[in-house]
Amino acid sequence: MSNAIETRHLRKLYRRRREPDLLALEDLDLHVREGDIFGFIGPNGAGKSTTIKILIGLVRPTAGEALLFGEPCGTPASRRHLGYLPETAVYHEFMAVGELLDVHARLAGVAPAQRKTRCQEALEIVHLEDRAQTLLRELSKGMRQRFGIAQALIARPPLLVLDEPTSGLDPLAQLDVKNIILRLKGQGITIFFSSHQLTDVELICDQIGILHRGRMLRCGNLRELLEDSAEVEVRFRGGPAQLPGREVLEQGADRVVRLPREESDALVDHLREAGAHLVGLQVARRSLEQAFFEITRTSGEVEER
Amino acid sequence: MSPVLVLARLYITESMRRQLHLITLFLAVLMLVLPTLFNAFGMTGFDRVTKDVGLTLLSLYAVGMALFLGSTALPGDLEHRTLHPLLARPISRMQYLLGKFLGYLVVMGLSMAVLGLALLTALAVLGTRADPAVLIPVALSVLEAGVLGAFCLFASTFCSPALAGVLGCFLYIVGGIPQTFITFFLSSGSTQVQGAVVRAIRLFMPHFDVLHLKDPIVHGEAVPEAYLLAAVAYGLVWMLLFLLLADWSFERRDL
Ligand SMILES: Nc1ncnc2c1ncn2[C@@H]1O[C@H](COP(=O)(O)OP(=O)(O)OP(=O)(O)O)[C@@H](O)[C@H]1O
Ligand SMILES: [Mg+2]
Repeated sequence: MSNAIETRHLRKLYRRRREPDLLALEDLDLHVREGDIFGFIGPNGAGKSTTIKILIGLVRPTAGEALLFGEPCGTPASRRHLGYLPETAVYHEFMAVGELLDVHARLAGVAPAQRKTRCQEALEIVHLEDRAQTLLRELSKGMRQRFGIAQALIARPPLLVLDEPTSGLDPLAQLDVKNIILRLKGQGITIFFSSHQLTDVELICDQIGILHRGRMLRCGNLRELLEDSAEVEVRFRGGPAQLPGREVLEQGADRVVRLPREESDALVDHLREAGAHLVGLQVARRSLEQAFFEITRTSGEVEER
Repeated sequence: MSPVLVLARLYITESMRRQLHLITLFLAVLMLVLPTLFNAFGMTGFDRVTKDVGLTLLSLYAVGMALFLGSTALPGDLEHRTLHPLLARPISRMQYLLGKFLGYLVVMGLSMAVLGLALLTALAVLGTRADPAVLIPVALSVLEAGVLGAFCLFASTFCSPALAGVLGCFLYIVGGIPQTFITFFLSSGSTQVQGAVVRAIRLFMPHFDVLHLKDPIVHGEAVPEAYLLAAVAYGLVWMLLFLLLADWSFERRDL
């Protein structure tokens, strides 16, 4: 399968007036396959929005190249197959929802005969169909965010780039967005989005990239990101309530200890000698959240050293 | 519809709804019509004064709006990030600028048409024969607003709106010094260096005085058609040049 998004050695140095220049991205290689959902995560200031803006053509890369469906980013042609939700956009506040959506449909090149139905369709997807006459300034923050999603969908683009699509949404609307994304994937649409909602990313993404201080620390599917955990979990009943140098968690009637894989034999021997009843032993599966903390933390230490 | 027209229409709709424009326009019309009320004494030559004051007012209005709208249009979009979703469409930044600028020109043109009509009405009330020649300086004011607005747009791509406005002001004042003044200054006791400096500065500026035809019109002098055509072409060339510069500078910016 070909790539919807591709970047090679992407680098961005922001020139600043009062402070030294800031390296926001360094040697970023991205490959997003057509039809995939790609989740882009990383701490605040990692460079997610910078990457996305380079893809859209709002920010010029300092070096390297970025392609959308093989077209160099930054050209009108590269944006022909694109829907974009900006991070913190304010829309023309004196326009009505339906009017502004129509403007977007025209700019996106939607055929005149289809414009009305497309607008209607996009509004229905985000549940704003009864707000078509409302001025944008009179929408709530979450509604504005939903308008943003609607304008991104207006031309039924094969690629959606969403910068924190669930920010500012209530839990129900967040679920909505998640379902919208999954439904669009069902239609073969490629979705690239950044998010701080790690549980959502974990649930819906085919590929996940972890960005930190402008570098891609890890990139792969969920299994690849989580499996390199070198820890096991030993679950037992009875026996010692405390172990020297280890934390014993009480989970109901069970006691649980986490420890490096190579030390598990010794611990099991010790527990058996102490009269404990072994209930289970398994590779400790991390959540994406844990993996995220560990990966970004270790990288931080590496850089500080 | 081409993207430029779509964006121009967006600009026009928005600026109408913001009402700032409508309110300033209303005030300007009021100021044009007010002098007619003072003619209760039947002063002779009052229509000429009205013409003079009215045309000056129109020109000031055009310049003020050009400075304000030209230097705030783009920074406003940047600050509120209203341009991000639009620029994510398959359009170029040039088309974006042109759309905005076209919308601005239309709004200015319509406002000046309203003011021109108000002036003609005021003159009619004063009992003078309606002389369509007063519309010539009005039209040239629109062109002047185009040149100045394009410059402010260009300046606002690399500096703050306030600074862009100040630069626009400077350009308008220095560029608008009548050529006769300059010639007089250069011929009367200025050093060679002074002369060179003045010439160099003026070389890189549009000479707005070329577009100032108020005085001959007020005094009923005829303006040759050839001069008018040349003046319009002159204004258009500068306007285009500033738009190209604006695009050149805007293209390189991170948004
Ligand atoms: N226009 C700019 N000029 C200078 N520095 C910038 C600019 N935009 C972003 N930066 C810097 O680049 C870095 C990356 O910012 P970016 O917005 O890409 O982060 P992010 O990953 O999207 O963060 P968040 O999760 O908070 O949205 C930050 O250190 C930020 O200060
Ligand atoms: Mg961001």
